Parts: sequence; C-alpha cells; structure tokens
Amino acid sequence: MVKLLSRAEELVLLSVGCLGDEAYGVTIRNHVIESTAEDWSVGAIYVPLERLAKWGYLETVMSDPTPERGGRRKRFYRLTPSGLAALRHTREVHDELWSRMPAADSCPDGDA
Amino acid sequence: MSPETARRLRLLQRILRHTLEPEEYEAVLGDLEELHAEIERRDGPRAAALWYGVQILRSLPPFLYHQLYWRLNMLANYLTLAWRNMRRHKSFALINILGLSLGLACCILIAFYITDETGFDRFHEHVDRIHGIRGAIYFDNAMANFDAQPPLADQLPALFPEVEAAVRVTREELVIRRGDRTFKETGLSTEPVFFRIFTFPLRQAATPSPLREPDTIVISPALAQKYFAAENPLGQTLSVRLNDQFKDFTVTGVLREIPATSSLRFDFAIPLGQLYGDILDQWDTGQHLPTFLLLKPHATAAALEGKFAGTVNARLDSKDPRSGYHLFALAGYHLSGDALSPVLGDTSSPTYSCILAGIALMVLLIACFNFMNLSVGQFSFRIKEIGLRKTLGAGRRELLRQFWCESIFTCLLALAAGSLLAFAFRGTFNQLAGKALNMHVLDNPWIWLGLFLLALGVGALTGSYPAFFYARHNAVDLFRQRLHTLGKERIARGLILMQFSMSIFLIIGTVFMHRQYRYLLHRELGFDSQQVVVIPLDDLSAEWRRSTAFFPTLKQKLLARDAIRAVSGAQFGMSSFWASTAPMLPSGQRTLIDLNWVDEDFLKTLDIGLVQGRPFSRDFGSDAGQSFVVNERLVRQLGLTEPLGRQLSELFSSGFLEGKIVGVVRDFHVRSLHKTIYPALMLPGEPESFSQMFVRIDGSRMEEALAGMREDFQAIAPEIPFRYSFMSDDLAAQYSLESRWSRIIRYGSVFSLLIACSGLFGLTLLAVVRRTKEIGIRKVMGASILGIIRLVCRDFFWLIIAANAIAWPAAYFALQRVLAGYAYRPHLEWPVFWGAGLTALLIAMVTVGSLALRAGRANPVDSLRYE
Repeated sequence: MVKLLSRAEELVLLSVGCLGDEAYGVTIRNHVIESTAEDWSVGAIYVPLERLAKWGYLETVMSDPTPERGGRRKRFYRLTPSGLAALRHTREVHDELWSRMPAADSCPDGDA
Repeated sequence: MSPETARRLRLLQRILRHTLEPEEYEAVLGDLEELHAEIERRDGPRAAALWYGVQILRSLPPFLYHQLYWRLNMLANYLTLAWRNMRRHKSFALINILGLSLGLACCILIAFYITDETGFDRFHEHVDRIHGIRGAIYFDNAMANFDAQPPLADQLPALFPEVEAAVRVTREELVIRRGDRTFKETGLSTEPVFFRIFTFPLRQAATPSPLREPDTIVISPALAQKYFAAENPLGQTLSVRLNDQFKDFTVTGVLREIPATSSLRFDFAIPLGQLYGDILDQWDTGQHLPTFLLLKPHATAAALEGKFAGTVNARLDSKDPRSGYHLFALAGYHLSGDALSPVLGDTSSPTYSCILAGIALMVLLIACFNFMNLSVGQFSFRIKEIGLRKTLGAGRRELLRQFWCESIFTCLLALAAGSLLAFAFRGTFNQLAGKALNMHVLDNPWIWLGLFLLALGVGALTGSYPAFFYARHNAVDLFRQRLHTLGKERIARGLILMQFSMSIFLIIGTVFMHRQYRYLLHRELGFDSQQVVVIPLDDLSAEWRRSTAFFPTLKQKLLARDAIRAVSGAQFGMSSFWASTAPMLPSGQRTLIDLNWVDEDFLKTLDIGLVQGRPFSRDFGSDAGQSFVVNERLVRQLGLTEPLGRQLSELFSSGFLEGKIVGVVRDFHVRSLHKTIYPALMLPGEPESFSQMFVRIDGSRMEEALAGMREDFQAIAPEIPFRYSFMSDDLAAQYSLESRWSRIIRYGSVFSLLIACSGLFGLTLLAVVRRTKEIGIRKVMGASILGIIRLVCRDFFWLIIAANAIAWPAAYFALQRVLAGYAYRPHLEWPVFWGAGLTALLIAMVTVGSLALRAGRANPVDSLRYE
C-alpha cells in the first residue's frame, strides 16, 4: 500500500528525483524555492526528507567531509522505486480528481 | 563564519543537536554553514549571521514535531512489546504488579493520611492569626498548666494593640430536651465574637450575630436533624439543663457541617454568661476559662508573649520567673502531640505520620526491588530479543528508553490497581487510623497528581537497573549467554538483602508494638478493674444530689441486690487525672502529689491492697476530713519510718490538708502507664462531691446487675439518661493509640514479608528454570533431592542470615526511641529478634524450598530432553 503524499512531501520527493545524484539539503532547498517561489526554511525541507527516508521512499548516503561546510559531511538522498511509486500514485489521484472536474470556464462566477 | 558569530550561535546549535539524530544534525549544520557562507559573500557577515539564527529558529518547530512524532511511534512499539512480554510471563507480571500495587496503595492511603493531618484547622479564614493562651506555674519538680483567668479576655485587647479580639470558650456536656427526646450533648459556651474569630459559617441564621441574646442557642446540622427532623429549627425552643433546671433556649442559627479536620468540634453553642456570668470579672476564684486570641494581621505571637512579663503575668501567684502566660498557634495545634486545651480535640504526633510514611515506603521499596531483580532475572528469556535489537543498531539510548517505557508502563498499571485497592480498603484504613478520608479525585486533585508523579518516578527508578544492565553488555555477550553468574550479581544480592532487612525490621517492630500494647493492658495496676461498672454522676449537679441524698440512697439500694458486691464513689475516676497539689517539703522542695476524695468502701470495691493501718470508716467519727490513706510511694518519698498516725502538717506545709495518716496502701496506677506512679493521697469525701460511682458486680450475673442498676437509678432520677461503662474498657481506651499502631504496623510487616517472598519465589523460579539441565545432570550423576534443595537454597539462605545483621541493630535503635515515651515497658528481649529472623528465614525457605523440591523430584530424562 502506497501512501498518498502531502504537498511538501511531493515537492521534496520530486526535487530529489530531478536533482539525481546531486540531491542534498542545500540543492533540494534551492530547487524547491526556485520552483515554488516561496521561502522554505531548512527545517521545513528536512522534516519531510527524513520522514520519507524513514518510510523507505528515499535512501540516504553520507558523503566525505568537505571543507567549505566546516568539515561536515553531506547527506545525499536518492529516490527509491517505492518512492517513485508513491509519486505516481499521488499524481494519479490528482489526475483523477482533475478529470472529474467540469471545464474551468463552466464554473460559476464568484470566488474564482 | 567568524569565531564570534559561531560562539553566539552555539546555544541554538545545541538545542538543534538535542532534537535531531546525529547524522541529521551533521547534515543540517553542514547545509546551514554552506548557505551561510554564500549569503555572507553576497550580503555581508551581519546579514548572514542574522539569517543563520532566523533559520534555526524557524526550523525548530518542525524539527520538534518530527522528533515527537517518531518518539511516539517508538513508544507505541515499546508498549506493545511490554504488553506481550507481560502476557508471555504472566507469573512475573503478576508478582510485579501485585507487589507494586500493594506498595502504591499503601502510599496512596498514607499520602491522604498525612495531608489530612497537616491540613487540620486550615479551613479557618484567619487560621494563622488565631492563638490560644495558656498559663504555666513552675514548682521545683513539676509544672502545672491551666487556662486563662476569666478577665484576661477583656483585658488583652485593651492592653495590647496587636490583639484584635479575644474569646472565652468552654466545653460543656449538657442534657438537652425537646418533647420526649432527651439526650446528653457536647457543645460550647462562648461569646458572640467566637463566630468572628473562627470560621464556622451558619447554614441558617435568624440574626446577624448569634449568641448576642442570653437565651439563644446555635446548633449543628446533626442536632437539628435529631431534634427537629424535617421541621425548620429557627425560632423553635430547646430545653437545656443548667444547674438542675431545664431552661428554654431559642434556636437562632444552624451551623454548616463542621469539617472533619477541625480540632474544635461541637454540637451546640450557648452564651457564656449562662454558666459563668458571675466569674467573668474575677481574677482569683481559681476558675480558668480557655481563651483564644485573634491577632492583628502582622503581629507575631512571640513579640506579644514578650510583653506579658510584668503585665498579665503579675496576676499569677508564683515567684518562679519561668511561670507565666504563653501562646500556642491553632495552626500547629493538631500536630503538637500535646493536648493542651480542654476545648480542642485530640492531637497527634508528627512521629506517627513519619512512622506510617516509613512503613509505606518500605513496602513500596520492597516491591520495586522485586521488579528490578525479576526483570534482570528474566534476561535468559529476553536475551535473543535484546541481542537482535542491538545487532540491528539499537543504541544504548534506545535500550534505556525501552526499559524505562516498560517499567513506567508496569508502574502505571500498578497505580491503577493500587488506586482501586486503596479505594476498596479505605473503610478499613479509616477505621485503623481513626480518620474519615474520602479520597475523591475532585476533592484532592493535587494528591492524585503527586501520586501519578510518584508512580512515574518509581517506574523510572525501577527501570534504570535493568536498563543499564542490558545496555552495559554487548550483543555478543548477550547471544552467548555469558551472564550465568546472575545469582552472584552484586546488585541483585544487595537488593534481596535489603528487602529482607526491611521485612525483619518490620516484624520485630510488630512484635514489640504488640507486646507493648499487651503489656499496657495486662500490667498489674495495683487495683482490680474487672467487673467494675462506672456510673457518671456529674450529669446531676452537686446541689441536687445533696438535696436528694442521691449517692447514699442509690448506694443503699444497690447494695441490697445480690448481684452487686460492693459500691463506692470518688471525686475523680481511675481513667482520668486526679487533682494534684505540690506542697512544700521541710527540705524546701516541692513534690507533686495526686489527690482524690473517696468514700469508705473505695479500697474494698477496687481491691486495693492495704499494707498498714485501716481504711476510712464511719465508725471513727473523726475520719471526716481528718484522716488520710496514702500510698507507699508517698511514704518512701517523705522518708517516713512510722507513717501511721503522723500529722500531715508536720510533714509538709499545705494550706488545706489537715489530719493524720490512718492507712498505707500498695502503689497503684492513677495515671496511664505512660507515666510513673506519683505519691498519692486519699481523703474521705462528701458524697455529693463524687463525680463517679464504682459498682463491683458479680461477673456471672452481669445482666441482672445492670438491669438492677438502671432500675434503681431511674427510680431516683427519672429525668436523667442512665449511662454506664466498664472500668476495664475505660482503662483500655487510654491505650487506643497503641492498639491502633500495633495493628497498622502489623499490616505493614505482613505486606512486606508477602511481597519480599513473592519476589524470592520469582527469582527461584528463574534460577530453577535456568538450571534445569544442570539439575538433571546432577541427578543422573547421583545427587540426592536434599542435595538439590541445598544447592538452590544455599545462596538465599546466607542472604537472609545476613539481613538480620542489618535489621537487628536498626530495629533496636528505632524501638528504643519509640518506647522511650513509656514509663513502663517490657525489656527488648533477644528472643524476639532472633524469632523474627527465624520466621522470615522459615517463610523464605519454604517458598524457595517448595520450588527446589519440585525441581529435585523431576525426572532427569524430561529436563535433559528439554529444548
């Protein structure tokens, strides 16, 4: 059974997929900020990341220490097959809902 | 990042470290550093540092949430494990939970007891400002306490600005009548200001200041129910017997229920002037009235007492500089252990709260030790589980958390069971402790919260030993079961040692408290209290008794009956204080002498042994007021060689004692056995002064005698309810406290031994299971059953022997302190000590031995085929 992802989880998971081998905290955050045009705190990125990792949708690898990070290691993330399945599932749910909606121009006026 | 910025941010980083796993923390901090460097390049160091701090603060809430989420997930996992583990090993779970719940139930009851004790009189709005005033006069070897001289209550507020108000309160037992209902009731006579000083709100009131009018009465709800049932009592009349006449009083108020924690208890209150109107402004009548003061908000009792010297103290007839008035706080009265005031109720000593708390803690500790030992002892069952967890990467922290979860879970279950136990047995406890605790959650939220925290604390403490035990050993050790030497595990042995020390300590305590109580009850008092009925006469006034010749008439009537052996009377009873005087001896010293006025059959009725001389007699006309019977202690104290015929006035100077000694009796106990025998002196008394009549009856015809007494009494005084008691009961009632304590400590020791033995049972069970194969092999090799039993029991045997070495001296010192309060007590005998040790050893060995026997008798084939 695949979980339906939340918006933050979906964004983060997609970003990891896009970034391929270069996906770690800083790049993922930059990618999410670029694509949403909103400011995301470091914590707001890490929490869904770690949750996805615990569910097995992401796998993590610690890099070698790099000097520009004060000698600290990076934590790289990679999409797993089950992560991909979860993304697909979430998208299918979205598509299904969109397909049931009448054409946007036939919506009654008001809040639109 | 500049070092200075780094230092500023260290606190934030540290918070971050505690909310994240190590690898996450490293990655996050690395990312932050990288981004920080970039921003620093672009916008300068200040902006970068600010950004860094803001980032951490913004990240904290999601991180905390994240952490909590996974912790709770794990918690659910741990609880599932704990639950499964309990179900798999039901007997151990039962031992643990039963023991802990018993221990916690004791703690719950004691917590309520102590809260009740320390909360006495707290319901008064001005409790911290209310003080009682008492006087003390010192003699060379003694001191006498008394209440305030009557006018003091009027003088104090006028003399000292710190005194806001003063009130005189006396305790009265009066007969109250309405229609055909006549009962004797206990209440107060006091002044209107009473209701301003003390907080006794009225449920119904006819006037804003009750007791202002002379013929008014305020009654308790119980009395309203008793005399008026459903009627409205306000404005109705009650007849109160004052000075032999019923006098009508109008009910002007009904109190609300008086809290159980009130030292001042009464069913009615009448104006003080009714009984004491003529002495209220008299200093030197010798009559004293209990008096209470309400101090001004910031006045202190000590400062006020300091001003007494030279003012009110000058009114006392004493040259001794220590003599004088002093104050006692109402707030501290209940736990003062000294019943100082005749209007306030019994006090209790904080020692008892301490003893109770000690017993409850011991029971709880013994149960905790069981839990520790058993959960470590179960390692052989859990070794695979723990080893696997360690191999899969469970760190020390996770294991600690798991075991803490398990023990806290167990403790909370035990708390639930313990609360039910405490609730179910609160009636028994109330009876034992003489309390009326309701223990409702809504009434006492803080106690229950405290108990919840206690259970958490006990769980955390108890879980720490198994947690650290498992965390200490590495996975390989656990898999290879390199821990065979558990029985030799020093901590486990230490815990068993302490359990049995405490059990033996409590057994010794039980035996001695019980012996002390039996001793007090059965000690030869010097007179025979069996089959003596006491009839109180003070329901009737002296004038009335004189006018009707009540005492001689009743005595004569009673003596005419076959079932009655002897009749006598005295001014003071045998279970109350006698009068005392402290005359000056020729040596210049004063000595305290107990005094009583009795009739000529006193010695005969109470079977007091005469040593020399004769009792009073009617045949000697001169006896009235001229002759004394004294006890041997007085003869010895005064150093008389030839006491008979000596004039008292030659022996010491006392204003009112005139006459000669006609008889000497054996020493007998006038006071309770908490006190020694004092010199005593008996005078022939006027029958109308007697407050009690003593009737020695034929034990085999008790019913007949009692019926006859009632008939004769009612024939002379039909308006007065006939009351009686047995002297032996009255005397035993002096030791109700000892009886109570002896029973409470007995419960404690039974519980502690029970729990300790159940723990031992569990441990033996574990040892036997672990050594099944060893025992099998030994049997194949020719070991006898006895040999196997010895093998299993050996360790525990020596532990319990060693426990005695701790328990004996501890018990010896504790008992010496407790029993020091008694003037008469049995010796601390050694047989009791080793008897207690032997009992514990025997019970423990039977527990262990039965399991060992089962193991020893098993067919080795079964055990060797095991697996």
